[in-house]
Amino acid sequence: MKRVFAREEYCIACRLCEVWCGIEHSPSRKAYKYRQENPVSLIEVQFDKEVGNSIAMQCRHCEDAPCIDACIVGALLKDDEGRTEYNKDRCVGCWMCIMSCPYGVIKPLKEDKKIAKCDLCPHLDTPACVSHCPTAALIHTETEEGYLHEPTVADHVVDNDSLFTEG
Amino acid sequence: MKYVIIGNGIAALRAAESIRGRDTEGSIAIISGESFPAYSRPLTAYLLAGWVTDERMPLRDSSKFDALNVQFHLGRMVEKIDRGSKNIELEGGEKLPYDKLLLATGASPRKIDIPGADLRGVQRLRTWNDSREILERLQTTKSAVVIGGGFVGMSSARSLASKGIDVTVVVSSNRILSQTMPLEAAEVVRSHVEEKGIRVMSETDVVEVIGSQASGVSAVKLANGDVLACELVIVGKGVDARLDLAQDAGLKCDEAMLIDAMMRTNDRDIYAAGDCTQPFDLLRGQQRSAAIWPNAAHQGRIAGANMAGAQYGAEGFYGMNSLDFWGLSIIAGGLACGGDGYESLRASGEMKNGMPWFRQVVFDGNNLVGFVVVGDIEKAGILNGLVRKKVDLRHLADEMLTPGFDMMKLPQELRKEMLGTVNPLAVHLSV
Repeated sequence: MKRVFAREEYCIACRLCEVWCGIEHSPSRKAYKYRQENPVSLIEVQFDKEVGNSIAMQCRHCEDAPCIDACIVGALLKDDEGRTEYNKDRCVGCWMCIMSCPYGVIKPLKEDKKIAKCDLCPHLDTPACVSHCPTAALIHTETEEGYLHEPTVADHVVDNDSLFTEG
Repeated sequence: MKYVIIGNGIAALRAAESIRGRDTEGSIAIISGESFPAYSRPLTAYLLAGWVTDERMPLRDSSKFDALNVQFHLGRMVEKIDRGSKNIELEGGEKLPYDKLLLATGASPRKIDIPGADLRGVQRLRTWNDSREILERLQTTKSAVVIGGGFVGMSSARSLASKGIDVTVVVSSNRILSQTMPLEAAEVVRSHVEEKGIRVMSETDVVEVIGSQASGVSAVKLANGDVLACELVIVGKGVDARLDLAQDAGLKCDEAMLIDAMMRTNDRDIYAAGDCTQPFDLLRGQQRSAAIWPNAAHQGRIAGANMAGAQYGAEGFYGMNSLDFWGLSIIAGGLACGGDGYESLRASGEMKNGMPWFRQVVFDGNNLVGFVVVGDIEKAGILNGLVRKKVDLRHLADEMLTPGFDMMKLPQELRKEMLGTVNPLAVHLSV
């Protein structure tokens, strides 16, 4: 599955990804009026002011997604293609997903008792943040990096029969 | 292949989904003493408050349950497991054969052993039926006493207080949420919930429930002799793993069932997951039960996959929790209380909206092993992820204690390890 991959070396902190994400997820999807529609951007540019680096962070759509395990209402589930899909109607704002996301990319919408997170723009071939990134700091690719994979068994973990030996 | 799952909570559901994702042919049977489809136990407190309705309790839409193609035996108890002939026997004598069996029997709330504990109106909150019984009792309830200030106790208190019921939480410890957070954080939460109408009485115990057979509970008596009038008592003194079946079948148990990283018991055809187990604790380095939702779900998924032939393992588990009291949010994980042998660092202040914030990070040497975030929880999950890393992060303590701690505060090397680096050629292809 294609995911969005961020490269901090190329990020110039223009925050156009946030703008276009907000537009794409606003009711009108129009640049000239989306701001009045109280949009929530599902991507966030974070800065290291000392070094001058920045990176755009959003849901990684992990294979082994801790947020899905943590969700107490079944509001976060995998869709057929592997995206981590959010069902707003089920969400009660318990923040268990926020607790469990190691990338910190799920936003709590405290007033609404809901969350917001990247949906990979399922209706577009390329997510809006990627197609509008002027420096290709965001790319949409079949990457194998930057998300949590299915767990695997390390040898030392399998060989723990000692747990059950007598005495 | 015949898969049998005893239990119908989140561990059982995730296991069934995991099996079905890998084996479309095999038969899956789920047996549960309760008559409901798999539902969310934490939502029972939301149901009490009226924040969700009954329709929201099941964890999946009915089409998703149907697609699993599971035979449900609901409202039936299992009498015993016969490991020799690989059968389970249901109440009434019916036998179900298995090739792979999962025990996801969960836990039951601890009972209190004081006079009057069996009076009507003394409730626990674990099941959908529990919340229905409490809702019924609420029609004649003006005041309630909650015994225990843990996750269940405080969630119940929150629900009752939001309904305008006069609630007192009685805790034996010096603070609420004593398993979850240190005193300093608990005090921040306490003063907030007291403003919202929950009274907290710490370092005391309920020694007697007073009432009559006719009308049920009418008051409780505390250790210091005080009497609190109430029509409802909710007991939240923790849970005990349900082990009867496992023990009778000779499966190894300590305080809960012992399992390895693949969720196998000492019988290679029997797996266990969820609150009935004692998996490996990543931070304490020993088998220990945390009995929390995310762990149960993860264990169920791993168990199901392995029952269907995969080779998944879990590095280990630890406790964590998230609570929200009228907008004051709390996320804590790992060895969040610190204690002897650990270094605990904390910071606190006030947010722009006037709400308090508090942070604590706990180090074992240079490794982050626990954290508490009160208030600004947005990126608290990063701290949780770092606990799993087990790398030297001591130099980041000041950053971690500052609200807004994000991925760019991590050392570049660690961040790149987490976010990956990508082949430039792939970039060329995607643009």
